Amino acid sequence: MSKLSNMELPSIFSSFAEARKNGFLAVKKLKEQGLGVVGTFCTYTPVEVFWAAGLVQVGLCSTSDETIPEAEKSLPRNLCPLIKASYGFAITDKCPYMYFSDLVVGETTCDGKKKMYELLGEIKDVHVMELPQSQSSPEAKAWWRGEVVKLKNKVATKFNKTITDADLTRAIKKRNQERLALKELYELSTLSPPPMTGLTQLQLLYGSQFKFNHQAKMADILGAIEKIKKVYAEGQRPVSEKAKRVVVTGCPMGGATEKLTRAIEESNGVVVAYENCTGAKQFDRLVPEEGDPWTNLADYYLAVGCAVMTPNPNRLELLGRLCRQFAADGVIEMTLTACQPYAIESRAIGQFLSQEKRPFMSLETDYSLGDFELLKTRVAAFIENLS
Amino acid sequence: MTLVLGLDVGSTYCKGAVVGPEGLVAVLKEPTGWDLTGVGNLVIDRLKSLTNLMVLPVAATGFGRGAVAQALIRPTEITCHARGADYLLPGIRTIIDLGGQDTKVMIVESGKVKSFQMNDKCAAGTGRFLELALNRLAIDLNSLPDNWLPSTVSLTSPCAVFAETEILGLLSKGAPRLEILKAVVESLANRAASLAGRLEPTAPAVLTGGLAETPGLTVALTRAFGVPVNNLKNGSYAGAIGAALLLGRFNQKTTSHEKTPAERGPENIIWRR
Ligand code: SF4
Ligand code: SF4
Repeated sequence: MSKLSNMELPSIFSSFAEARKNGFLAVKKLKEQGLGVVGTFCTYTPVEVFWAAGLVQVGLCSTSDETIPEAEKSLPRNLCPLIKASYGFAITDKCPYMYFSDLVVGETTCDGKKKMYELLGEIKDVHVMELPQSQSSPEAKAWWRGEVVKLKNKVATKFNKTITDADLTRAIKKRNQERLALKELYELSTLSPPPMTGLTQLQLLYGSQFKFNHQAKMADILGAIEKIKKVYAEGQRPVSEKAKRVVVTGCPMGGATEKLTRAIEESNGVVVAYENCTGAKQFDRLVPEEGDPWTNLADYYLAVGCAVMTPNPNRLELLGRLCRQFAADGVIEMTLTACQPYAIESRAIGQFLSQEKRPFMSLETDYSLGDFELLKTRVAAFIENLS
Repeated sequence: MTLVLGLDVGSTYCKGAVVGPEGLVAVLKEPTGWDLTGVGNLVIDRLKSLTNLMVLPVAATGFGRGAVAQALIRPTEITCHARGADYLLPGIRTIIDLGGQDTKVMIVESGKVKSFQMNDKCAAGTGRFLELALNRLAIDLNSLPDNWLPSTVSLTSPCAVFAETEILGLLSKGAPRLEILKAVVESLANRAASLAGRLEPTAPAVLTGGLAETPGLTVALTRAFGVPVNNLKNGSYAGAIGAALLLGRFNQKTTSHEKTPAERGPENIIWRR
């Protein structure tokens, strides 16, 4: 292991990882308290709707290849591993969140996901929101607002709740607080050298989605920020001054795909920011708190810059901004095998970064660990040649 | 005198090069075998006695670089090939490296990698593919005449295992062994060219790796790449030389370039499995 990984911060960081481990018991306990659980898959899902109804919301995107063979009995092999794994965990009852969720909410994002939801509908109560394929027209915005209201009605009927505008506004404020805190956390890596490795950052961001109590979650995040700042102020440097600063973009990261971060950080690089759904894409902006909360919520989510949109200018805007803010030496994109939207968009990303004068490499991988050395050779060669 | 040693531990051969401020001093290679550490030490010892030096700082590259305990740096073979080839032929822009178990195409500028593609997931298009075919045909690569014309037969499968079956089929139909050899080399060259699909290779282009000095290969590569691909003297040592140069930092004196505009590193490397 590299110097980087040996010098990671201890104690409080591990509490997030444990939250993952204790997932089963935690969700069971919540259910025993009579709380409804909603499982979601995507950054386009307006989670504030569930919060406003007092429900527990949890991400269901699976990041391990454990159940892929099971999923491949019903799904084609050349499908994105995220979709296969998520479906696999559903049919094998191996994911506590999927298992305990009363309602699953998906969107018509990529073709693979929307067709998988049809199959998932055979075993779970699945509500699919119809996401427009482009973001700017008034028709698209109006349509999406309608879908958000439909979701509210679905939730209200299913869980026998009323959701008022005031409930929603409160939920928006809570979620905004979390966004601000998580943004403050990852923006610590604008420091040079960064006060945490990219692996630590990823695990903190990823782990935060498995904490369900707002107060406790806020305390954890703010505690982590304080701890990192304090240790840094005392002179500890978990990352070498010489490490090349990399911004990661592409498909969602976490779990098995931590291998990309490891490959970077074992090759004299450090991930300073994630543009992906695990990172800045989720926390960078805030939902406006004044005005009609339903319109605000719909407009906010529709503007998420994902490759399923055409065109997709918001991804470029965020990526360019992160590169400047974090003083990136280079950008590495991860696309998952068989993910057409991101694989095709790679070219546009490459052209954009070439104008921005940021070296760029795009790598395709899946949830297996077999290609770690292949990834590492490529990543190491890329980093060696950064000036 | 400050000399440094570069070691390229490949899957077939372990190559060593000693480089100093005045340039290349000595090269040699040994078959890799199973003992990576052992063969590394053997090459180091032989180069030490060749240069009459007790101590030589070592830089290691190649897939077995991790086994070389005394290495001070372990850069990737991609960076090393670029640096080494640019030393051997200053101003080089495209490098095709046919290795024993992988094939790489690199676009370089002033010895720095701008972009690369690499196949190391399967044997198609690698030296291993060629080796299997040559064994099956019991023929030497040097039997290819200079400027040979395209083959009258062709192989359809890039897979090393299926190609062997295809070769048997062609032999049983009475196709001349030389024509089959040409088809094998063409298949290899086309595979390398398709790997380079996105890279837009430009001249000057060279072949590195164990077959760097085999003229029969560059004929096919030139046709497949659409740019003249040249043989490179000592090209099999490009990786070892590059590793030594990176350690010794003699590059300003030994390579052609002083400074280049916009030397900001790689761009647009896209790898799909
Ligand atoms: S990458 Fe796109 S489709 Fe996937 S979770 Fe993120 S926003 Fe949703
Ligand atoms: S990674 Fe790509 S293919 Fe997979 S779910 Fe996300 S958008 Fe769809």
